Order: sequence, then structure tokens, then C-alpha cells
Amino acid sequence: MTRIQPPRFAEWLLRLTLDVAAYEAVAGDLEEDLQHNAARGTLRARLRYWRLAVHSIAVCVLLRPRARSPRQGDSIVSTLLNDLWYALRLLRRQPGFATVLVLTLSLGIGGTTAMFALVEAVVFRPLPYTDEDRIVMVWETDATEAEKKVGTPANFQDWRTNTHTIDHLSGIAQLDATLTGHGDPQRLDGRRVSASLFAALGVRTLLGRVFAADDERVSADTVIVAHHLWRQALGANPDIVGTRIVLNDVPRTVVGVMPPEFRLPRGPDDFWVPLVFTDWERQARGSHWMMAIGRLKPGVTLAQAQADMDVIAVRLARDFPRFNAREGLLVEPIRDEMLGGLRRPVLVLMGAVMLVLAIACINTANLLLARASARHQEVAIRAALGARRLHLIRQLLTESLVFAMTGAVAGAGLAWFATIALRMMMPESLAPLRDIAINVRVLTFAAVMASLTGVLFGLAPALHLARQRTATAIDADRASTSARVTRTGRTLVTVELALAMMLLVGAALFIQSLRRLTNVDAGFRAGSVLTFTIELPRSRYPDPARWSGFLDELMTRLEKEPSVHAAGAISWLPLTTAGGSNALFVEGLPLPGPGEETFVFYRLITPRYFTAMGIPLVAGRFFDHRDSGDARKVVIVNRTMAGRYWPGESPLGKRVSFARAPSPDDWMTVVGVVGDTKQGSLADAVDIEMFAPGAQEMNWFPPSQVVVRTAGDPLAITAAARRHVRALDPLMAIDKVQSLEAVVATSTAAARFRTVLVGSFGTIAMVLAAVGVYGLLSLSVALRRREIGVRTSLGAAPRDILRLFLAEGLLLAVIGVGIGLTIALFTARTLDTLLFDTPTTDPRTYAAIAALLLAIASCACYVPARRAARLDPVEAMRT
Amino acid sequence: MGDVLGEFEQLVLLAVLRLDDAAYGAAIARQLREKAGRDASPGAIFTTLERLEARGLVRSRYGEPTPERGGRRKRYYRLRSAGQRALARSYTATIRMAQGLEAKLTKS
Repeated sequence: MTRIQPPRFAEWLLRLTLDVAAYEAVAGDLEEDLQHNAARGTLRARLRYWRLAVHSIAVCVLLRPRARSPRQGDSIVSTLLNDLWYALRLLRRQPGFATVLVLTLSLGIGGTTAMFALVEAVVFRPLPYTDEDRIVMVWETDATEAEKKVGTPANFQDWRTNTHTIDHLSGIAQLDATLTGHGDPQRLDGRRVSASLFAALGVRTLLGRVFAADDERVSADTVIVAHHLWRQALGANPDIVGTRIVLNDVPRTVVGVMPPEFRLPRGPDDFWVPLVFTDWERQARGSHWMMAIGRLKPGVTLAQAQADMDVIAVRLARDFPRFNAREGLLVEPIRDEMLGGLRRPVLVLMGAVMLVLAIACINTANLLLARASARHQEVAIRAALGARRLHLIRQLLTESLVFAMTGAVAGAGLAWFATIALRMMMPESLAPLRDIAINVRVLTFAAVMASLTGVLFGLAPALHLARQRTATAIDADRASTSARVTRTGRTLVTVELALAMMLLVGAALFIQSLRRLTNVDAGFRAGSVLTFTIELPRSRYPDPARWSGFLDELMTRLEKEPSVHAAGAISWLPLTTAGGSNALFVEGLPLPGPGEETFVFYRLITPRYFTAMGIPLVAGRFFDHRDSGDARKVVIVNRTMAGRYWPGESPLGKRVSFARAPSPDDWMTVVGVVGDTKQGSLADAVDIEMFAPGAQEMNWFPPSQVVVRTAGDPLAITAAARRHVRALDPLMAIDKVQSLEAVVATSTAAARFRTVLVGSFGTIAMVLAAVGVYGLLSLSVALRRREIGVRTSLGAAPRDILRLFLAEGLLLAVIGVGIGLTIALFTARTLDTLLFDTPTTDPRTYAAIAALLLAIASCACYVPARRAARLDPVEAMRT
Repeated sequence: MGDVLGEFEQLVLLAVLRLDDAAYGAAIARQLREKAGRDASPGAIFTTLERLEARGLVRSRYGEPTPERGGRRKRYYRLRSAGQRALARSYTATIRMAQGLEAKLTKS
């Protein structure tokens, strides 16, 4: 009879997964069976070997109900499988214990994973460009302010001509437009971009082509559309390239569609058109509205590019001192612009959630420790029966890993829900984070965290158990071990309370900051006001005469609605953007030197704007029909401006100008003073500001944000508002319809988001710490039953026992809270930049949080302490 | 109360009894295949016998290694008295339950 060789790999698998005894029996039987069947053909015999081997492994690994000590010759895998099985069985035997453990861990791991999804999006996710680390942005900087600002078109052309280090330097400028001809007129956000931008970013279109140099002509009428615009408004037409769409009444040929992930800094956009400078723009060195993006030439470093641009900045300052005397240039990696501002808040949140994870780990360690002391005898007996210490430790570690992994799975589910919730409440300013997701990297992170925590919280109890001497353990002398167990547990709970204290202080600071922020008086009454934006395209509304005619008519019609009290419009609503600004020259004051001018915010308004907003008149008058285009130019100033330039006298009748050497026509006369309104955000102090009538031209930002004060629910008049706009101009798009309260809420959304997150972390930490205190004290009571019995029989009243255990728990709480308080005091100032008007060392905050935590800890102590007090002494001493 | 045997356990014990001195994994498997039409994997048989041994129904000893088994030892099993009792009990129970049903049982 010919011998057949058994399949080597199957044999190896058997040896790997089975212990020695099972392997010898099973592999022997299999081989015998193989030789027996050899006559029926080698292939069939070997296939049969495989089938039976797989079945044998499955049966032996899953169904053998024994925790065995490994023997000489067992493979590691078979030992681990054995440990794993044992751990799972224990878990099933103590469902309550297992539930608490897994819940605790899933909170920690789930929270950390969700936060890591944020960190991943900010720190690790590549931007949708080619070689993003070669892509840079160029900004202008102000010598007096650290902030970067967008460049001017004339300067930009000089950068592009003179740079030796940056290729494809491209400009990007804002362009809003109304799309008509595809359903209702629709307001779109677009950008004018240099043709070279696509080469700078290394991006390609999904359909069609990018812009070529040839597109940069004054007569160019090409457009590239965003993926979402193509899908939604344009019906995902696959033959879109070559067709025409109408933007701001101008037909443009679609040459390309970008892929869905494409996004420019400060995007997203709906479309892109070629950037072609007008003659006026070519000369403009004072108006900042251009972002610049380029690609470092091969071999050039960021520092070299910066040095290159520094030289250009010096030359510009020399050649055009009026505009560039104080200007520097900054070369910045594109990632810093797109995500840099998010890094700090996201890392703070990550730090907070790591504290939660630490607390979860400590609780788990403590629970395991408590159980370890209960299993103490089992382990001692197994050790006495010859179980090796290493194996005991491995067994216990496997158990904690099983807990950690179960916690990780539950945590990943939790994280998945959390990211959905995060996406829903995420403010606009965090838009790049909208596409956070639980991806492979995040899941890997969760798995690594779980393994690490499993080892960390498992190691202490495992070492503790394995170290104990066999003799003392089997012996009923439990006093020394219980002392050791509770000592370790006490340390852990103290740390836990300290961590919870730190988190709660952070949460309290954020809550305080948010409350102060939302209580800030914005200067207007936000209730019952509807706002919406209309688009006044230059083609049909080229000058103030045209647009103020339209606006007057619209406001008149709106105010005829029975529920409307007043209607007005402004260039930019407060709290949406700081506003336009220009150099200010005040009649009668000495002229500031070049580059030392004071800048003033200004906005164009319609006459009834202040009435609609509920902004009070302090002196003089509001605008009215007298302030027409051909009348004397007038302005209304805010209270801050009146106080700064005309303290102690009336500003009415004073004159200001934007021109250094004003002609008679350039002077603007102050006719009124109004109450201050916040400009860019609630957090910033009010700066000087002027308002001018929309009928008197000052710039290209007509009053296109409409505010309507109504009697009741502002959104109820939305339909009427649309109808009136449509009736006056069927091609006009209405956008951003919302209540003024929603505008205010949006401005604090980022702060609210942070507060909610840190607040929930703090709450979770507090709950976990309470569970920790409760668990430790329960353990302590359980271990000291005999002592309680002795004390009671020697005359201690239940009240004394209660006091004994309460004191034990509260001492820990006081120490933990004290430590946490001290650390928080020194670390809270890292939150400084994220807080509004909230001192990080306010003793009242600390006192309140400490009191709260102590109260919670007392409650957690009370339950087990009362249980101790009610113990029947006879019963207690028997155990 | 005695040990309750599962169906597979019963078959395995019967094979052990039938094989007398020569009851080891592969031989038991052959008996199961020929007499009961069951193609059981060595793993299933081993696990079952291990469990029965832990319950004190069988005992085992190692034989000599044979070349046919790739140089591995046979592990021989014998019934202990408790095993014999358990087997007898479950066999009797089956017979009693089946009394008078022979016609129906052979038909199907």
C-alpha cells in the first residue's frame, strides 16, 4: 500500500490550534483514515483529510469546556484559545459584573474613538490635492497685527512676476451669482480663479477640462461647475460639457465638472470662472480680496520661499509706501489655512476624552481587582496545583483583553452614533469636519486603544493576584490581602476623582464662557425678525440709483403686510462678518502719516434698517427720502465712534472722508448717532463704525441682506416676502432665509459645540467616578464584614459603622478633589484662548465644582456604608 | 440520578463496548461509519470521549506509536462501570419507549 503524505498546512493548523493530547489523537486518527482511503485516489483522500481536520479544530476549540493549565509542547495559539474560552465563560457566568465593565469601557473607548475621528479628519486626512505639502498660500501681514489677510490684485501680479520659488501662483476671488434658467433663480457661491490654479493644486476634472491660459481673456465666458451643482441644479447631465448656463444674466459655456471631494480653502463653492482683472483691479493696491495659492518649485523649501517673498515685500513697501509700508508677506502651507485653526480645539477635546478613558480604565481595574480578591482562593489553589505564574498572568490578561475588546466593539458602535450626532450639531465654522467618518484608521485606533487599555487595567490585578503567596491565600487569613487590594483601589479612585475634577472644571469654564457670550448685548433686538439675502447682480443693478429704486419698492411692499412693523436692508448683518473697512479722515484732526490711518467699519443701509433691527437712535436722525443719490452725502456713526472723535460735544454736522485730500464731494456729514452693535462676533469689542444710505454710492456692497420686524413668528411671512421679491424681479434669487435669532445662534455655534462636548465628557467622568467610589466602598465593606461584626457586638451602634465607612470614602474624595483642583488650577489656562471673558482661576468656579463632586461622592459612599451599618453582627462574623 | 447520555455519546459508548480492547479514535470512527452511517470527525470523537472521561464513564490509556499514524500513539478507551450503567440505562429507556412502535419505526 502506498503511503500518502498528509496535507502539510492542515497538519500545521492542527498543531497550532490544539493542545498536545488532542493533537496526537486527532492527527493520528486523521492520518490513519487518510491511508485507509488512499485507494480511492489521492486527491479525494486529501480533501477528506482537510474537511475532517477543519471540523475537528472547530469542535475542539469551541466545545471543550475546560480551563487547563498548558502543558509542555502546547502551541501558543492553542493556549490562548483556551484562555479566551475560559474568559468568555466567566463573562457569561457573571452577567451583571460583565455589563458594568463593558459599559464603562465602551464609554471610554467609544468617546475616544469618536474624538479620534475628529482628530483624524483634522490632522491625518490628506487634502484632495496632489503633493499637498508642496502647495502654499501667500498672505499679506500687517506689521502691527499678527493676523494674516488676503492680498490685493495689483500686489499679487507683482508677486507672480517676481517670485523665483513658487510656480503657478494663482489668485482666487469671491464671486456670488444668480443661476437662472434651471427652475427658480438660485443664489450661488462662486470664485474667480487663475487658470494656473488647477496645476498648482494638481487636480483634474471629473468631466471636461480645467481652465487653460486661453480662458483668461476679458471676453472669456467659460465656467467649471462643482459636483453637487452638476448633480442637483443641472440634473447630472452627462453631456453638460459644452452646454451653456446663465450666471448673473451672462451665458457661460461649461467646460468641466470637478470631482465631489474638490474644495478650495474657505469653500465650498458652486462654480469657478476664470479670473481676469479689470483695468481698475490691475491698479488696486488698497483693496484686499484675493487669496493666492501656488506650488513650491522642485527642491525649494518653505523657508526659502518665505525669504523670497520677504524680498518682494521689502521692494513693494519701498515702491508703494502708501499701501505697503506696513505690509509683510507670509508663505503658509495650505493645510495650515484649511485646518490649522481647528487643531487646538480638537486637541483640547481629545485631551478631555482621554481623561474619560483613563477614568474608565481605572474603574475597570478596580472592578477586576475587587473580583480578583474574590477569586483569590481559586487562583491560589490553581497555583498550588502547579499552574505556572506566567500562565496565571496570561489567563488574567486574556480576560481583561476580552473585556476590552467587547468594550471596543460596543464603543465603536457608540462612536458611530456619536459621529452622526457630531455631524448634525457641527457648526459651519467646522465645515471641513463634516465628513468625519469611522474609517479603517479610526477603527484601528479603537483596536489599539482597547488592547492598550486591556493590558493596562488588566496588568495591575493580574500581577497582584499572581504575586500573592500560595500559603496566605488558601489560609483564611484575608486581612492582609484585603488591605492590599483596597490600598491599590484607593489610590486608583483618588486618581479618578482628580481626573473627574479636572474635566468638570473645564466643563464649568466652558459653560460659564458660553453663558457670558450669549448674554452679551448685541445691540439689537433679535426676536420676531426675519432675515434673508437677495442678490443684486451688477448687470441689472449697476449703480445705487438702480438698486435703491428696487429696495425702496420692496421695503414699501413688505411694510404693507399687516404683520410687518418695519423692513430694512444692510450690506452685511451684524455677527456674520466684521464688515468692509476703509481708512478714515476726520475733518479738523491732524492727518495721519501714510500707513498709520485708522480704519473704520462701514455698511450701507436702507432708511428703516435701524427701526427694523430695534437699534436705538442716540442723537440726530435716521436716514429718510432726503438722503438721495444727488443730495449731500451723510453718515450715521455708532456711539463708540462719536465718543472717540467728538468726546463731550455733539458729532452732528461734523464731516469725515475716506479720501486723504477730499474734494468737496468726498465729505460725508454726520447726521445721527446710534447705539453700538456687535460687528464680527459677540466676543469682540465694538469698534468704530459708520452707516451710509444705500442710495449714496460708496462701494460695491449694496444693502442686500433684508431684515423684517414682524408681530409674531418671523418665518410666517417668508412666503409673502418671496412673493414680493418675485413680483419685482422674477430673476432674483432669495437665499439664507432665517430668523435673526438663528443668525445670532449661528455666531455662537462653535462655542456651544465645544461646551456640549466637554460638558458631556465631564458628566460621564463624574458618573464613572461615582461608580468607582461606590465599587471601592462596596468592596471594602465586603472584605471587612468580620470586623463590622466584631465592632457591633462590642457595642458600636449602626450610626458609628455608617460614620466609619462614610469617613473612609469621604477622605478619598477630599484628597482626590484636592489634587484635581490643584492640577486644574495650573492647566486651565491652556483653555484661555477658547474662553470668552471667563477667568480660568475664578475661586467660585472651583469651589462650586469641588462641592458638587464631594456631594456626589458622599451619595456614592452612603449606599454601601448604610449596607454595612445594617449588617447583622452574627451573620457578619460567620463569613 | 444518573448520567444522561446524548445520542452521539450513546453511539460512541456502544462502539467502545463493541471494540472491547481495540477501542481507539480511528476504529471508533470506522464503527460509527459502518454501523450507524455517521461520518464523525476525529475532533468530535476526541472531544466526546474527553468529556465522558471527565464524567468518569470511560478511562483511557496510551498504546504504542504506529507508522500508519505517522508515528503517533493510539489512545485506547474502555468503559468504566458507571459508563456501562449509564449506557444500559439509556438503552433500556429507548427500548421501553419504542415497545409496540416497531411497525411504525421500521416503515419510515
